[in-house]
Amino acid sequence: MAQKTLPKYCPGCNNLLKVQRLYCDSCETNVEGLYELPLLARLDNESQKFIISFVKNSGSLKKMAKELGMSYPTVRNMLNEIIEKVDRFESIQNDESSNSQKE
Amino acid sequence: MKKWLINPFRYVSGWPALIAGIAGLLIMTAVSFYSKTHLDGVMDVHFGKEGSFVLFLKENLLTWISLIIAYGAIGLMITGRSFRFIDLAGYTLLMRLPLLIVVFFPFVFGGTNVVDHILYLLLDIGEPVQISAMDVVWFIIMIILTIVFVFWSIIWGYFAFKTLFHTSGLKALALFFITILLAELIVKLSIYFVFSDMALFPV
Repeated sequence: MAQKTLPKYCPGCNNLLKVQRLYCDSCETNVEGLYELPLLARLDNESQKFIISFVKNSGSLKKMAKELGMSYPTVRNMLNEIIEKVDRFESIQNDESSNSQKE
Repeated sequence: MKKWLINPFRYVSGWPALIAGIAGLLIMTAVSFYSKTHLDGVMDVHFGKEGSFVLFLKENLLTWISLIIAYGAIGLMITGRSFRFIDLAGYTLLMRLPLLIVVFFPFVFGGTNVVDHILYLLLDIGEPVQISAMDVVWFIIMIILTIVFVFWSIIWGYFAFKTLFHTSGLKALALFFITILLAELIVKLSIYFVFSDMALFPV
């Protein structure tokens, strides 16, 4: 069976989804609440794979370039794009938390 | 293979790019010496005028150094992030590899007698040369193909620029053209003011 992909955005309004229910497969416990998706989980699958590979390669872009068969600047640009995405998510998160504090 | 021909900078960098570029430069210099093809600028190809091996080497080196200066200056200006000098040096050489084909053209198409004819007619340089209609046809084909390969080299230059400085879209395109014009200006001003012995025509 193909692995399911965690949906991150609402198919109706395209807003970021939140976690409302967690389930234990072993004892069938349900946990209900309202949780934000962790920052890394918000990234697309390609970016997540890149980060895992980055950690496994001890943060060496040279090793990653070799592993991916790409040039060093290309891999560095991929990392820069992820940094930009994380920055964007963080600023959205900060805006949301400052808005909720005002309320 | 097709991806490599369009954008090799996605796959190669560092020492391999620099070594391939230097090898290309040396081969290009050697062949251009025998085919009398001058590459004295980023977008310049001139056929026909004889010169010493050192002159052809100096033309290629001057163009390379000008590209490094122009790319480096614009790159530092637009990116807060740093880039590796070895990539800058390698990519500015590698982007000129399509011209390696161009320096063989005079062997394939002949055509330099048409250049000699034009030089004699317009600038009164050299001796009068007899040319046939076929000479002109081959010369036109050579010029069209030369334009194609120069354009290819410019496309590679654009991809090198994008990869080095992580830019895209209209901004990348505009900055790239400024960079190319700056490099061309550096070459021409250097020849005019500093290396006037390299000028193909009296300055």
